[in-house]
Amino acid sequence: MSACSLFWFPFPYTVMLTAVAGLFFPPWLLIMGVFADALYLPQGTFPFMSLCGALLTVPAIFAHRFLKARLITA
Amino acid sequence: MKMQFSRRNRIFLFRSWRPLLLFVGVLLLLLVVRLSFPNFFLYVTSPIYSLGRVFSETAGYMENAKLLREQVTQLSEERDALLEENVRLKDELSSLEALPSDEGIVVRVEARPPVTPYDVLIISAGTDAGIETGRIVYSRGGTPVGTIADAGKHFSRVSLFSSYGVSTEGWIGEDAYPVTFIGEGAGAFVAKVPREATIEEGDIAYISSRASAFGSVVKIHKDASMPEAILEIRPYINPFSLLSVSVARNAP
Repeated sequence: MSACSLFWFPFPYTVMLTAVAGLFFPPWLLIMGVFADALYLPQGTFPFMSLCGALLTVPAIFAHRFLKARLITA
Repeated sequence: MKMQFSRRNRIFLFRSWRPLLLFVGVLLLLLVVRLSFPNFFLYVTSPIYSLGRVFSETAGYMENAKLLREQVTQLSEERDALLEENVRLKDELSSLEALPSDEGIVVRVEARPPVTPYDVLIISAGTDAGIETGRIVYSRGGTPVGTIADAGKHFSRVSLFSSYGVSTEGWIGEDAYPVTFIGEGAGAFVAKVPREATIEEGDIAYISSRASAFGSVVKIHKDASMPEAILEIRPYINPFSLLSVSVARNAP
């Protein structure tokens, strides 16, 4: 759903759906960041989305493992 | 010896590095493809954009069939009247100076803000239609909205003047006060002028390359402690609703 949102829905919704998906599959944040840059990044612009995806994947991994270990609940 | 197992310790261990290496390899491959073939992903995903357009159009059509039939009848009558006026106006058109948009290549906008994150437009034309990097892009009314950031064979990306941090030279008002417009994203601009500049709210803002009016000053922030006044400029065109644009045939 978050992948389709990248084509159809406003970007804030895409970010929200990707964040939720990232709790269950953390690399999805980086994948979506790279995918957004692959589609929309103009030449000469810093790949901000890829960087955000990479930075947010790390805490998402920990959140995912905490969820899995039931240290926190969704 | 009894081993103490802690849930917390297991959280920080990776069971195997192979999936991680595979994942990094796939990401590197994606980056190489993106750099080598900038429009590859747009080619692959263009059917998804079309599908979204089909869904939204179909939902609109199915809403009220009877109302639509009545509208069709009414519009047919209006069309006949407009056709007559069209013939009359075409005779007068040849005597009018062409607007910049009339000299341009009209293309459809596939994706626009807020769907796109960088204040860019994706248009369905590229080098095969004569589009080159750096060309100015106009809305259908002749208002400049951006420039071609990169052009592939069948798709191009338009960087809007209102993209965050993008600077564009121009002037304001009938006195042609020179300013630099700085994009704030989402179609908004600001400009900094000396506090004593004779600019008022409602003055028209122009892009210098074509002397085209593109917006007006909506608010002026002046602070006695600052030597500069900050102007908020609202463009005439809302980039969120652009369905088609016109790309200039010649470089600025």
